[in-house]
Amino acid sequence: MTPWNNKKRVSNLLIQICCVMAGCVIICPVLYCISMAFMRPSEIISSPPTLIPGSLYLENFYIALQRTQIMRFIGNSLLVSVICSLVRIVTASLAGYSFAFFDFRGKKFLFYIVLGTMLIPADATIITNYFTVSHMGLVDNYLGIMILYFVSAMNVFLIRQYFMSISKELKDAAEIDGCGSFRFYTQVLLPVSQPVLVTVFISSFVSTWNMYLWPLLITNKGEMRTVQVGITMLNFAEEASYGATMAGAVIVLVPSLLVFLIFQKHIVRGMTSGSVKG
Amino acid sequence: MVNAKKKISSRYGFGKKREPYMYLLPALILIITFTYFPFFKTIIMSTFLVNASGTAIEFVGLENYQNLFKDTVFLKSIGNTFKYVICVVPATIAIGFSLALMANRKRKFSRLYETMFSLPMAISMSVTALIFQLLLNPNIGAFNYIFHTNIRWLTDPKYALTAIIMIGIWMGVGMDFMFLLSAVRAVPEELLECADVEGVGAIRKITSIYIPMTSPTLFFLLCTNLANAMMMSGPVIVLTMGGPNNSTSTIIYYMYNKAFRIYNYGSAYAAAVVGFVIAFALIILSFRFEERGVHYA
Repeated sequence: MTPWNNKKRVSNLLIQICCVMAGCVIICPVLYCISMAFMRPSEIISSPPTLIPGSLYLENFYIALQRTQIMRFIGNSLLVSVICSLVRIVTASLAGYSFAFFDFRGKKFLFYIVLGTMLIPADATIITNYFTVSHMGLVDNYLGIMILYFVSAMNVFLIRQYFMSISKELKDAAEIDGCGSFRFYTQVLLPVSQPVLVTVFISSFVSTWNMYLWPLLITNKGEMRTVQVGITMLNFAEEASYGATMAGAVIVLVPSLLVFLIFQKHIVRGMTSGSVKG
Repeated sequence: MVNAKKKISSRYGFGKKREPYMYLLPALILIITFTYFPFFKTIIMSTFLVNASGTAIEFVGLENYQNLFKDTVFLKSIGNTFKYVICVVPATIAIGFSLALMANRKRKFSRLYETMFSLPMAISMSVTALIFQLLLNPNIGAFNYIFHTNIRWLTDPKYALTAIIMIGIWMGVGMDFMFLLSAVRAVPEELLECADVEGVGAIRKITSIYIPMTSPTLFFLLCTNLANAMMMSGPVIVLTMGGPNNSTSTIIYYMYNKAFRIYNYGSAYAAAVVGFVIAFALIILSFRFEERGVHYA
């Protein structure tokens, strides 16, 4: 082995060690949370702080599950996120279909109307939306939590881009064979667009799963809370019960981590699409 | 006979004409009801005197704004928001960019540290807030212990905003890293080889190759990070409720507090409009920046 090659190998190794160390610094709050979840109250309040639990103490999880309706919160969030994401696929793919396959008056204008929503900060419209939704009688109602998230301009844009890559001749051919526009959409277009629909579903799922301010406002009853709002109620006053809070955090964290690790590619693609100029 | 045929075809034509609008209808109805309608209504309501149940009573012009800008808490909230933005946005982009450069070349453990770097993306705001609440706890948290400091992070007016800023940076790093990693990896190999042949140093390589070549992504991140940071309220609601002594109140938190805890809707609407204006101003500003500094390959 030449000395030059050796030097390169050493530097390669050093960079990797640096990267893994930097990575550990970044994820240490998560590791800390997991480690605290398994600690006895005496270990948690000890000074100097213990960083590694002496044994796997599971009582914290038991308290977290007992004292709050955390499973109910997770169920609520699952329901809300799944339905929102499915509805988003429908609204966005219909709109994308219209923008990509039809020519009609005002198309450009309507397209800008859709994209323009990205310029309006959603949190600043939340008071008026609160009144609208509460006048509909949807406080403490699943539909009330979801209704604001039934359409996303980003999704419309992403699906339109994908549809534009499908040749219009496919539609013409289908029409000659007597396939109507709507049938073409449901039976040809949607099946061939599965990759983009999966991306939209997963990125929507993650973003609705993580929403906070709106569900906080529109729900008052404990059993209607979504997990992001509910988890903050584990915020007990006494320091000794931090273990239970962290156990709750772990219960919430693990499913999101799994989803993230499995679907990383889709999540990134769903978000990066917006950065490409169309 | 001919007439009938014409009738059918014209009817068919009419249906065809309406068809694309029908497909747009669900999306448009939702967008108008929950984005444009509240946008305009918020602007209109901000010029009215509004009672505690949310009904407009009389037109008062700019009085709500006058009161708003007389309120020191609001001025402080604007200041806090800008401090937060000025610290969080450049720091997250810079850290994300450095990590992306470090992870650029694919190596044996790439997948491991790429996942570690992007992991904060997977953790929601509420969970992050809870973790940092414990981490920063002055008595039992690990932060003070590790760094040998003795700071009451979330309860000392001098440090509370710094704590919120640290949390904001941590939450944003993962996403910025992900975007920048794919941008950095798309830099053409020949360009870097050329630079190597010319004997260009590492820092020059970053400033004259990596930054210009990734400028569209940097620009995109700048825009989204600015928009998110300007509208930040979550960690404040979970951790400090704007306190201590309003040192962590932001524009959206101020709006939330006025509307849903004090029921002073006039000020809340006016604060929301200030939020719109700042968001627009930032978008225009970043587009000006784009004209001067972004290179599309």
